[in-house]
Parts: sequence; structure tokens; C-alpha cells
Amino acid sequence: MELSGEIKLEATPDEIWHVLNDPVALQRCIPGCTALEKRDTNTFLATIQTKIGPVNTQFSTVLTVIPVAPPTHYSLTGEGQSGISGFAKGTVNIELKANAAGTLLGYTSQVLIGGKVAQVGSRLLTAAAKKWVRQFFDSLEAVFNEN
Amino acid sequence: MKAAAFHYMQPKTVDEALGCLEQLGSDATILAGGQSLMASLNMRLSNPAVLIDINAIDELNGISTVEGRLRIGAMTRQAELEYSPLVSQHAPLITMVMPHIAHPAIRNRGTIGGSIAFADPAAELPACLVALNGQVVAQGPNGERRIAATEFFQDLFETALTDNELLTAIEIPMANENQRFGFRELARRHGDYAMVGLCASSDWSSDNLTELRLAYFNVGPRPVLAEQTASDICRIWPQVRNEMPLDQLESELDPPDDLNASSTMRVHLAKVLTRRIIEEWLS
Amino acid sequence: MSDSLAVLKGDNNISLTVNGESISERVPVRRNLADFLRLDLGLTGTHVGCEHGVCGACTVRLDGKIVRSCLILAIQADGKRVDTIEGLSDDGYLEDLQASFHARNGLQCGFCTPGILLTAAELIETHPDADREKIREFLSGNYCRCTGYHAIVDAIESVVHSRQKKREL
Repeated sequence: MELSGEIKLEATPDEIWHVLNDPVALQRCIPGCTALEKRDTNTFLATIQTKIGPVNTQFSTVLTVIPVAPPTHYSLTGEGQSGISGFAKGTVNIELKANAAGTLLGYTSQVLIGGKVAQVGSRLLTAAAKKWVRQFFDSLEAVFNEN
Repeated sequence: MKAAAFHYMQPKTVDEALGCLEQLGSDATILAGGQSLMASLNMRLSNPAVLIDINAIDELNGISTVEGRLRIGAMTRQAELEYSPLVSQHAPLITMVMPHIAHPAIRNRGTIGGSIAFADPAAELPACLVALNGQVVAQGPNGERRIAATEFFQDLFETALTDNELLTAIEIPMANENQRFGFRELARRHGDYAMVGLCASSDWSSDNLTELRLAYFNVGPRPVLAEQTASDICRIWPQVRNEMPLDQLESELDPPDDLNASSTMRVHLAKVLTRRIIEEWLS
Repeated sequence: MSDSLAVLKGDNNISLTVNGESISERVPVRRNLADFLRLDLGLTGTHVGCEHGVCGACTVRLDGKIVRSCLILAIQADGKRVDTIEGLSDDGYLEDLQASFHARNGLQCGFCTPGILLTAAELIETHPDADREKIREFLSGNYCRCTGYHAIVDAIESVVHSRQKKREL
């Protein structure tokens, strides 16, 4: 599925760029990320816990940060396995544009969820993915407002 | 598949149940009717550490009237609601909705409290409560509080209930003779989750529609009260025969695409259901 | 408060009435009622299909009402009355329905049949004047892969009519 949107943040693109490329801050942005371990320059191994309603799934995820064109174009891809429950693959492409109030963050994302979770929860996948993406950007805003 | 192992507790009072929640925190999951939770456990999509079975708590049962409100205990079985004379007299919208919820065997165990607390976006009872302007009664360590249905459903499977609170009852203003209700849902097979549904409640003065509440479900993560569309309809009443002002639904509803229907189709179906209910009232 | 509240885990004792008989058994907390009836009591007339409540093959009566036994824990049935196809059949409670299904070819492989008979029995109890539409609506939670449902509806309708006739006499 494809999800996209725009968010206004009161920070400069440079400041947001810094957060997105800082593993410690990134871990706090990713909803349910209980562990983030660096593998090499831009690759991380993340443990991501998701809880939608009664369904609790833990994804072992390989995350790749792609600083496409600093400080405006950034991509994050993830490939997660959840044992018998299924898998999830996604890419978020972020574009940062400076404006009067700070930054306009535009994102497009492609998410693919498969396995039992998708089979049983097919009617809820889009809503669940949207909620996850929303939480990601809410956390980004929070992390950022603290700094 | 079979459920994985878990621990189990069966409190006999609300206080005992609250004690369990306080003690166990996020390890605890409340087991009410079990018609959604047990399915999830059997498929091993949920792995709660402890199930708190509230089926033995007597104080959560009972349907009564209290100061102009119909009060329904959280553990009231959906089947009891379906056949209750008190409900059909004071909240006829619920009586209309009940036969569309799953199937009889599910309704014999499923509870109103469970359905409201679980807040499945495709469930009928949450939208029904929003249409009726009802309230959720919750009890926690700080005592009892009431939450308006319009504030209760916050996001996908997320409600205003805190982790240490128990939903103890639902309260609904009693229907009066100047009110009419409507319910429509579209499902591929009877009892399936609806593609789109609508619970409607209206107030009349002689033949004039004075207030309208349109609560749509399965149009997003939670029930949507389409206030703009409702006020548009009231404003031009009874001229709706020629043209029903439903265009605002396109901005008030933002349904997801899924295997059953696209976003556009859902909005279209929402308009169809609205027309059907209004036409029923006109005839 | 919670000090006195037991935490059950592992195996536990339960006592209940099954088909009129007092039963005491020791069951794991996680065992559902369908598996308890089949594995612990050898009552295999109750069938396990989807294990998430939609197919109806596991339907039994709990305290007189039809329920999905795959969605109830055996320990939740402690102190309660369970009636399965075996008991209701032996009692003669389903006799006219069974005869009608037989006459109208309302079953082929029989997998859905116990669930359907119990559901049909509750339908006629709660809606003694059910028409074909009502029969279909009430039975919509029971899946049959063999018959195409028509013969099942015929069989149930036939019993509705014969019981109506009996009442008129």
C-alpha cells in the first residue's frame, strides 16, 4: 500500500536531518522500537514491537538509512520478519523544504505486509499502517521538541 | 491452532479486577465475552501473560433505567440486548442493530462492554453509541468517571480507557416519541464485517427534522459523526426529496482502501446508506 | 484483595455437568472447551473447523444457549452445564430435526451437522414461526461445504411447520 502526507515542523531542515541520521534519536522515533543495533555505516538491526488491538507482533527488522541528498532528501527502508506471524517491508521517502515557520516535511511510503498478520487482518492493514506512520512522525516531532 | 500458555485470574468484584490491573499492568488482558480475544489467542496473534476473566463479576450485569438514562452493565450479553424489552423501548436503535452483529452463537457470549472497549472499526455498537450520544462509565483506582461516546473512540483500537480502568457500564439517554432511528450496513454475507455502516438518530418537531446524528462505521479507524452532512440535511428539510446534500461526506469521511472496497467505493456506499435511511423516514 | 485471588496456571481441576452427567477433570488453563470435550471426554461429535468462531462446527450449548466452544476456555465452563450433540441426540431433543435432515438430505459429510442441528434447535425455540429468510439469517454462522444449504433450509422449515401444526392441535 502507498501512504503519503505532509507535516509542518518548527525546526530547520538541518535540525530534522540531524535527528533522522542519529541512531539514538531515530530509535525514539520508530514506534515500538525496543532495540537498535548498528551493523555498518547506514544499516541497523532493529527490534520493533507493534500492538494493534489484541495483535502483538515483534519484527526483527533490518533498517537502512539512505541519506539521498542532504539535507533535503532522505529514505528509510525496513525489512522485518515476525516468525509465524508474517513479515513487513517498507520504504519511507522524506523531502524537507524550508519555509517561514520551519520545515514542511513531505513523505511518501510504500508498505508491504504479508503472512498470517496480513491474511487475518487484511481489512485493518491500511488503517494500522497509517497509524504506525502517524506515530512515527508524532515521535519525530516530540524528539525534536525536546532538543 | 491452539492458544499458547497464559496465567488466568477470575476476580469476583470490580475492585478485585481493578486490583489485578494495578498489580499486573500491561501483562494483563481483560477477558469479557472472548469472541474477539479468544480468536486472536487461538491464532497466536496475541500472547497475553495473564487473562483477567471478568465473567464472574455480578455487578457488571443488568439493564436498568436511571434518571432518564438507560444503563446497561458492561457484561450484558449481546443476545440479552437483542431480546430486551427495556432496550427496545428506550434504545430501539440497539434493537435494530443487534441481529446484524455476527451470529446468534457469538451474540450469546459477546458483551456490549467488550465490543465498546475493543473498538473494532467495523463494529456496530461503537457507532450506535455515538449516534445515541451515549456515555461510557469507567471505574479506576480514582473512582468512577463518564466519557462521552464522541470522545471515547480515539484511534484504531484505541479508546479513552486507561490501562488501569475497567469499563463497567454504558448509559444512553432514553428515546422519546419525537425521535426516529435508522440502521443500514452493507456486508457481502449476513453477519460479516460491514464494508460500510450507518447508525442514525433524529429528532423531529411535527414533520420537521430538527436534529440528525449520522454515525458511520468502517470508514476509518473509529466511528465518524458526519456533522456537516447532518446539518446540511436538516437545513434544507424537507426539500431533500429532490436533491439530498451528501457531497460533504466526501470530505467528512476518509476511508481506507482495502481488499473489500476502495476508499471511493466506501464513500459512495455511505451516501447510498444515508439515502436509504432518509427515504425510509420520508415514506 | 489480589492476595486472596488465585492465579491459575498449568493444570487445574474443573467440575461441570456434561450431557446431564457430573464430570470432574484436570485441564490445562489454555485448553478450549471444544478440545476438552473431544480430547478429555472423548465426545468427538463436536467438531473443530476454523478455531476462531466463524464456521460454527464447534457449536455446543452452554447453560442452555448455543456458543462457540472453540472460543471458551474449559476452565470457564467450571460449574456450568454443557450439552453436546451426543446428549441432545440421546435425549431425543433433536429427534424431529434429525429425521427431517435425513428425509431431506440435509447432510452429506456430516461435519457441519452437529453445529447446524444445535443452531436450528435454538432458532425454532426463539423464533417458532421462522420463515425461510429467518432460517437463513439465523444459520448464517454455520458453514456447510457439501449441501449448498438449500436442503438444510428445507429440513428446518419442515420442522417449523410440523411443530406449528402440533401447537394448533
